[in-house]
Amino acid sequence: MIHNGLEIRNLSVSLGGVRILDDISFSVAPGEIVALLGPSGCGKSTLLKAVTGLVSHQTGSIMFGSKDLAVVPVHKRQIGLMFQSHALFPHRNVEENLAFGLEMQGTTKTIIRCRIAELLELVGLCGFEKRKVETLSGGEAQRVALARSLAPHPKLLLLDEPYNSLDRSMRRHLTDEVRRILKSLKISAVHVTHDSDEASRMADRMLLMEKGQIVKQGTFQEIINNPKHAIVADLIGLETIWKPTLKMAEGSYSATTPWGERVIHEPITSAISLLLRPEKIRITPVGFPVVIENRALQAGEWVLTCRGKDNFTISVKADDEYEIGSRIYLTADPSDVEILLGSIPY
Amino acid sequence: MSYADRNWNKNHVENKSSESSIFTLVSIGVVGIFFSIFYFFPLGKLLRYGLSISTLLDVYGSAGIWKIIWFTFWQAALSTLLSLLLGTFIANTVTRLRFRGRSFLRVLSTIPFVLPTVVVSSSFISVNKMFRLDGTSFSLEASALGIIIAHAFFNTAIVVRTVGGWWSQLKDEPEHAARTLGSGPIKTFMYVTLPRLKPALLASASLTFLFSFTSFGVILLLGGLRKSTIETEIWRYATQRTDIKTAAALGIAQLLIVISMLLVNGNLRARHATNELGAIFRPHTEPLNARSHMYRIASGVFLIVSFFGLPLILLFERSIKTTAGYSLVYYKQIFTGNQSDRFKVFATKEAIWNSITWALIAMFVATVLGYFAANLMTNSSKRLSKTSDTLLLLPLGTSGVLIGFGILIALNTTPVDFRSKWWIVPLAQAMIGVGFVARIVATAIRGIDPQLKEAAKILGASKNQVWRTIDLPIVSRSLLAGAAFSFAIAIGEFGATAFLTRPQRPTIPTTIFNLLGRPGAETFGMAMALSVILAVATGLSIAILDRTGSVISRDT
Repeated sequence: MIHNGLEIRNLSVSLGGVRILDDISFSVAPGEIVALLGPSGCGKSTLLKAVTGLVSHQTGSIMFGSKDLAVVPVHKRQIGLMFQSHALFPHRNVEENLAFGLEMQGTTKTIIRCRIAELLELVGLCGFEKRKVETLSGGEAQRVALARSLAPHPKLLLLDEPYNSLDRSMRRHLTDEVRRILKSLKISAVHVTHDSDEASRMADRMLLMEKGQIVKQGTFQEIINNPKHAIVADLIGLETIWKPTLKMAEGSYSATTPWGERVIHEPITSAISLLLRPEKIRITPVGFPVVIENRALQAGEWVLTCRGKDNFTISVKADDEYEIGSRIYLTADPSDVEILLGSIPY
Repeated sequence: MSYADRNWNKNHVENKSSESSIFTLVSIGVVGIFFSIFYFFPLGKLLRYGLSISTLLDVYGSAGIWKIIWFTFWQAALSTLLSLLLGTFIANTVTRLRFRGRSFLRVLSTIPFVLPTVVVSSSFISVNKMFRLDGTSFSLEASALGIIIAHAFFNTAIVVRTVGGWWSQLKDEPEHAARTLGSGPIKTFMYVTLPRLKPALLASASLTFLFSFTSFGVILLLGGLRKSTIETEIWRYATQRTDIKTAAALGIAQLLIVISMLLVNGNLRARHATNELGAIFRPHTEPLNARSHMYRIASGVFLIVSFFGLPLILLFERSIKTTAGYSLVYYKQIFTGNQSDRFKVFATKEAIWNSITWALIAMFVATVLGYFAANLMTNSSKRLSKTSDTLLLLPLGTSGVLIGFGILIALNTTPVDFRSKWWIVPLAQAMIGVGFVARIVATAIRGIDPQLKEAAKILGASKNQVWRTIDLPIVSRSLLAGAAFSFAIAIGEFGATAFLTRPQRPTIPTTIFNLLGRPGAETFGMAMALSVILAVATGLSIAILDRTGSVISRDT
């Protein structure tokens, strides 16, 4: 199959004798934005470094535009990279930072000047040419970093948790903006993050990584509808996940829930977890008695953390404000309890 | 701690109570008196000797002097350039790359800085003999080449520590950014890394230039009669031709040049918070497995081992090589004394004894004074801390020869004739070491995070408890490091000692110099053996420094 985007097959990387990436395969279509979601230390950044060539891989292949990148040195790959810390050159001003990539290509001065003006307009920083890097705010620095990585017309942009140091509203704003810019320029991108909200805003598709492996990929909707793995559900922020106590009855397993038994028809080969989403639970006059331990506003709605018999802890949505410590009764249907593979560490 | 934090710490002024102002007064008194007697008075007197129009015209009217001044400049410039090249390359190897044995190589490349000049010169002489370079154009003896390489051998350590310390705190993300923006490895180094290293490069270059400019032992031993600098000329005029006026006039020029270089260095340090000596590496590097790294590690290791290791190994080899094969006979001669009259003049056992006791005295004096001086340098009054900082830089930059010479001509007129007393030697050695101790301790005091103290206070510690639990452990480690450093300097000190010690009271360095001045395999072998002993003594003290150093200058 001829593929014009990024195509990674069976990629493995070891650093200092430790295997960081293990048999990674995925592809990014031209113009597609893919989010790479995973806990810290799962190998996300190393994966980006391998694609840029800053880290070399042992096995597998990285193809870009049907060309094997293994023999192409970093500076000839035409892949842009944006860092967590904007990584602007401190000894150059904004203009000189933007010009760097073009200077390396040997572009003439007049063209460079036009391109800088164009880029600054694109990121909404007109008139910033002579500003020193240290006078920029966090958001401005990230915009300059974006403009700098776009300057030499990369075909693929990699973003390594670029908004970590920014506050929430700036983060959302920049995410929307960067997506708009990348889409308008038809640049493919891989966006690394550990924030599922950011991932869903930014990307067309998601890859979920855990311990150097890709555990799941698909659109956000597909993954939310069927996370399959407990770790995936946890990464995208689904609640409540817990480890069940299993019983064997009439040839099949069943898990005990406060609302009766959940029969498991699938064969069980390793650890499983259960998931019961907050919207599937109702607060009713009678039912499973719990005490409200804490509450949090999530996207304008109250989510209550409740504790019942046997320290069973569960989250539930509420349309009203409840006092912490008050007693309520919950009702749910055991068939709404989903079964996930594996377990989460806490 | 980031740079921003650290600068904030520096500007963070603490409230001092009246007890500490008494302590400040005592510090001013002690430091002031010592510096007046052993630095300002002698140098003032020296200036007066040289400051007459006729003398100055006489001295600077001759073409020979200008040739010497020119040589002093260009050998220092080339030495600096070579040190920068080697030092930057080595700093890259020992801070940016991860491999086994890295910390050993770091120590190996630091040791030369504290090695006595006579030892380094001796080891270069032994390299020269080993490879039979004498008479060729690569000869390391009586040649500018030998001098420049020997200076690089010393001063590369300054560059490694300064540039490496700075480099280890730089993240490599801008470099990675440059690479992904289409710049190759060499361009990335030129356009991104070098500009980022500039403050550290400038700081170490000015220090290296200063040390090469005022170098004494290396020029005297490797330059022979043909190559001399201002420094060795001062010594020659003062001791061999007893023309004090000419020597003093040369001393003035030397001092002026040194002071102007110190001002440049001071300006650099004020502008960029580089820390020259004690810097320790905690690299931020991530392991990258690019194949080119293997070549870089291999070439770096080869350079360090051959450049720093080889002369030292050869020095040892020469010290055990006799006409009848390898033996420890020279060491035996050093410790038992030799029956033959020819060697009686070299009181080697006494020299060792003198060197050790004097170095211990110098260490004690320098450490106590350095502690007081460090307190002045970190005083909350900005004027006091700035003044003492500059004044303490002076003896650091003044050569041992000038200090020794100044004391020689000045201190016989004081009520006590200091000059004829044996303890003038350790005091002069302490004068040279005190600047280093003060800097090391001051750096440690400045490095104490004020938030640590605030946290201790909030947790209920009284003022004394805060001092005992927070300040003392950090300061005492730096004092130990300073003591080790001043011991190493004192035991290998040659410039001032050569002026002040009497033939009947030799030290190890002066004895090595005298031994090398006599022809014969046996005197040469004994000189080499004594050099090994001296190298071991300084190596041991620097090992202590490095142990404590990793703690004291962690965040400096």
